[in-house]
This record gives sequence, structure tokens and C-alpha cells, in this order.
Amino acid sequence: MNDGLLSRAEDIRIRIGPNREIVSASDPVFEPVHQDEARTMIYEAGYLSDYLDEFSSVLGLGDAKFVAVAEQERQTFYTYEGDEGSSILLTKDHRGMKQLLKEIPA
Amino acid sequence: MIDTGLNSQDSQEAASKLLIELYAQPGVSGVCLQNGRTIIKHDLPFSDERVTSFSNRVDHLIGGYGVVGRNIWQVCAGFENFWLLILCHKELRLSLLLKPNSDTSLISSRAAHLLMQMEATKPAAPAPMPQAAAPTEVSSNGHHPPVGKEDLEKILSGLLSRVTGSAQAGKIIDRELSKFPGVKGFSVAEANEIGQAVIDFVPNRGKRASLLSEFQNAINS
Repeated sequence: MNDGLLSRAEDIRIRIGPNREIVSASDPVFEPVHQDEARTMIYEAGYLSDYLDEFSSVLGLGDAKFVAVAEQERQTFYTYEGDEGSSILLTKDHRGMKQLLKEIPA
Repeated sequence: MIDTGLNSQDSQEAASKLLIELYAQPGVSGVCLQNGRTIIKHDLPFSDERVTSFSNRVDHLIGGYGVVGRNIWQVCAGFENFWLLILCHKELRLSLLLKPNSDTSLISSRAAHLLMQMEATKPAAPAPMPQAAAPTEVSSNGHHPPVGKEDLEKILSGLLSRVTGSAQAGKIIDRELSKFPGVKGFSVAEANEIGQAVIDFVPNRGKRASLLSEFQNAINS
């Protein structure tokens, strides 16, 4: 994954509108070579949101606000803001939840 | 603590001892430890049926990443009333229900340590079941099968690329097709089975149903 978006910046931000359109994003997201990865991240926002809805419904957890996925050499943080859409923060380093929540308010 | 797993008693006892450590951490409100889809131990305040449904979805979520070659080791989700921390190590998944604003870094490091200890005490995996015979290259009536491998791949790529990046779509499809090495064509029933397995990775029910219906139309036409 290191030859992807994170090879261009320490962190990548994408703001997605209610219809899954990109409202704003870090510059590398608009480079043709990174379109596929950006698209996958936007898909992943929906993928995770659907699972979170299921967890919430089975365990009665209330509405999902955010989710962070940690893997080798990267962490992706999604926040869900209902009708406002959602935000994505992709980082090379693994940041704690408190720090992530400060960076993109839920 | 409720035992619902099918694993050995030793394994459950080891899990109980290790999970006690986690309860010493402030904010931990419930745990569910599973090996693949099999629950080893849980004490979530819900019926076993609901916890089974939850653990199946956890395994499916993590499996979805595995299919595309991404090795996820932690998922932390925040909800209105609780936070849900899921740690993964090989086939083991440990889900923790936390009070909001718990110290997830500390709990996560303890939980990860526990998973590694559990892995060491896990019983050996049972011998694999014999696999069903692979689809034949030519159907039983002597005609070539109606769905060629390349055609099937093309149909599935077209459908999946609407909901995910093409690289990820390609990996999901390759994984399913790699279960049939050397096979160049499939019967409609076999193609349907493969298509269903691929489309199952689309989590949204509505989207899944619509893609599946489109897929079946394409296969049957």
C-alpha cells in the first residue's frame, strides 16, 4: 500500500457528501493514478457503515459515530455525520482514538 | 460468564483466566472471544442467538478484508452508548464493549497480548473436510458449459466495480475463481454459486440484492 496515496502525503483527508460524492479532499486524491484507491476508501466508508448498523441493531449500541481500522503501516478513520455525509482520514501512523477524534470532530 | 463455544474445556478455562485481566481495565463492559465463527467465551448481556449473529458478522467483516489481502488487526467503532473494540490475531477475534472515552490504547495492548497467549493455547485445527469435486470442463451431456470463465469474470467485474475500486473487485473475484484451478467453464448453477459468493462481499442488503438479480439475468440470458 506504500506506493499509494500515502506515498504522496503523511495523511490524506476526504470529505464525502450525502450522495457519496467527494466534497473536498487532499490533492493526491484527484490524481488519476490514485482514483482507484480513493474509490475503494469511499466504498469502505459504506462497507463499514453497514456493518456498524448491524452491530448497533444486534447489540443496541445507538447510532454509529466513527470507526478506525488499523492495519500494517496505515490506519483509516471514518466519521459519520448523518445527512451531512462522512469524513475519511488516512494516516501512516497509528493514532489513538482521542487524537483522531480531535482531528476530525465526530 | 456464559460458555457457548465448541472448543475444548482447557481452551475455555485458559480464555476465562486471560479475560479476567481485561476486566481489571476501567471501562470494559463485555467481551466476546471467538475463533473464526466459533465463540470460545462471551459474557455479553444478550441471548446466545444475538451474540452468535454478532460474532458471525464480526468474522464476515474481518474476512472481507482478508479476501483482498488486507491484514486488519484492530477495528474501533464509536456509537452513541458504547464503543466497540475488535482485535484480530489470525483466526481469533476479541470484541470488547467499552464505555465511551475508555483508554482504548491501554485496553487494546492488553487485549492484543491476550490474543497471542490464546493463540498459543488453542487446540490444533481439525483435519480439513474433503472438498467437493471441482466443476468439470465439459458438462455431462458432452456440450461445453454455458458460462465461460472469462465471461463470468467480466460480468462480475462489471457489477462489482460499481461499488468498489477495480483492484479490490479483482481480488475478490480472483479469490473465488481460484477455488477452481484449471476450470475454463461452469454450468449455470455453478456460475450462480460463484456469483453469489462474490456478491456476498457487498454488505448493503439492497445493493446486494440488486446486483445479484442483475447477475442472474446476465447468466441466464
